[in-house]
Amino acid sequence: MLQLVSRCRSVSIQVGCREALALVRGLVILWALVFFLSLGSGYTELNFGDIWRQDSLTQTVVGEVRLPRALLATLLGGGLALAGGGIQGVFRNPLADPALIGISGGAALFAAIYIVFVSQTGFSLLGLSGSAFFGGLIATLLVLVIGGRQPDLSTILLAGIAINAICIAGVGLMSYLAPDQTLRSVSFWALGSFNHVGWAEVSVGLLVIPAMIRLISLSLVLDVLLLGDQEAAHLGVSVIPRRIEVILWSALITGISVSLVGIIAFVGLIVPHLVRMTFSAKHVVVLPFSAIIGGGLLVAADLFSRSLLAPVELPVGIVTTLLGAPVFVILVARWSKGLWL
Amino acid sequence: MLVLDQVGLEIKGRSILKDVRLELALGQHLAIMGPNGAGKSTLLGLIAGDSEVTSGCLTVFGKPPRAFLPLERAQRIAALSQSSELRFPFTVEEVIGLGRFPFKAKPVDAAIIVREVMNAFQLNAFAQRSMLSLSGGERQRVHLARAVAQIWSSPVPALLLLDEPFAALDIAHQVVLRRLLAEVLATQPVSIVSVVHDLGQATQGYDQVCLLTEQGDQLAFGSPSAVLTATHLSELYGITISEMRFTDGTPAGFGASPAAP
Repeated sequence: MLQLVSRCRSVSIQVGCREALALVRGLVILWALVFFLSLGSGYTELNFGDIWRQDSLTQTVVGEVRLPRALLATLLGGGLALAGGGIQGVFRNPLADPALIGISGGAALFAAIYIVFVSQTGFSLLGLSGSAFFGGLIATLLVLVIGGRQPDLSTILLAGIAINAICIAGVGLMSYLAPDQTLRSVSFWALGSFNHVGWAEVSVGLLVIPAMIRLISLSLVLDVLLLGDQEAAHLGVSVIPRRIEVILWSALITGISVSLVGIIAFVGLIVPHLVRMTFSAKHVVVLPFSAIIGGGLLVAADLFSRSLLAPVELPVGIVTTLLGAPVFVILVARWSKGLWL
Repeated sequence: MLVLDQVGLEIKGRSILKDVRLELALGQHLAIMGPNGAGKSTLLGLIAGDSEVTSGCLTVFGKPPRAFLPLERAQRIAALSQSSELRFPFTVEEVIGLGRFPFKAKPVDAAIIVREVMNAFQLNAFAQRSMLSLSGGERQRVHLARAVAQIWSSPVPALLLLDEPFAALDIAHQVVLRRLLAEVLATQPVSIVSVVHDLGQATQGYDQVCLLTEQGDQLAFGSPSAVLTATHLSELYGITISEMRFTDGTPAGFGASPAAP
């Protein structure tokens, strides 16, 4: 936001400054609507006035269950969408996504390994997040090595699909090895769910904020990287360190997200796309707007996942995939025809 | 401002460039010419600081290009490669604005310079168009404008490196670009180095020419009238090349007759 404001002040190119701020305000209001709707809806229906009540039922339902859940969905939806925008920029590939290029799969595998082998001797949420982060990082490096350093669409995506398949198979293997009581928690990593979320998860989830801020501060560098490695170097960017940095921060966001709620696919792919198609392709717009829209979208997806077959809850990862996959197909079809807008 | 003394480059034991010597003064336009695979783009890359020379000495503004900090170098040397890919829907204005990245501390100047450069390149009508909707030649012009924006109104001498700037342009835009580059040279503290293929217009607008052979040797360096001769070019390309003239007798570059051996 600060970046956007200062950018607005200095350069009045493109979308006018006032319009941009009005858009941000509109999007935040939209998010707030979904957020409060999410606090009110569920097995115990509460209207807007009710959610502020101080009785013990409301305090438990809203304060202990729905509020941390909606907050975490906001943080992780925003983080994932922003990381997706960053990954797409750094790979110069509008169809890249943390889940598609293996970060999520690697993170899920390492989370599963941690649960099965380490957590018997002492479980910690930070340890789980840390191992998911390293898993995501290793998967990304493998994809980069296999897919070559060509930022070509097909090689990176194919390498990502292969690594992802191996990781998901690994998660399956882990669930086979896991004793019964850990089985559910392992299998949930492959699907993604906010079912168990409390304040501990929210506090770990706050770690995505510094990563998001750093990525937004790299907006201009990401713009320049889109021109190509050589061009970026000629414009004074230290290409390799900056690229690794963006991958690291994105892997951190994805790793934290996967360790807390499992794999949530397509948010990171679809949201930055929508922003580029409707607003601007400049990262200083794409990243913050993606964060706001992604946050709102995931709160909505979570609300949907627990309302559709209430009182039964669907894993939210299934909802985002069912919504996102068709959009992805449309995007691929349009893109192969050279259409964008 | 640009001095190459016995510059050579070897990659994995294979010699790419050998014994290149040239000197370029401020305000001059140097053309690097030669057959395919002669290492013209590699030479341009050496000047841009893409890699280190393996023998000899190359200095830009008194320093080897790689001795500059990346951002510092980008403030004085702008380079345009042959292919700039951009798969994202940036507008023309935004792309040209990226040329001001090395000066990101002064965003206010950037807006003014982008406007001036768009004026100069007659891209005003395109300002809000998406790059993805442009033709190859139009994109080429935008990337050229971006490179020019990088050194526009530079307070210190600057260097503009262009790899086949005329390649994708139609003849009218070639003429416009030639005039524009001449104007940049006349009004700003700049020198230009271009890799050029087209012998048809080779004699127009360059102050110096460097001819490279297929082996990366320097065949000749000097003023166009001294270097660009039918004898030199025939030797260089291994076919008979003759000088052409317009009907009024002025030189019109070089060409090979279809019957040339």
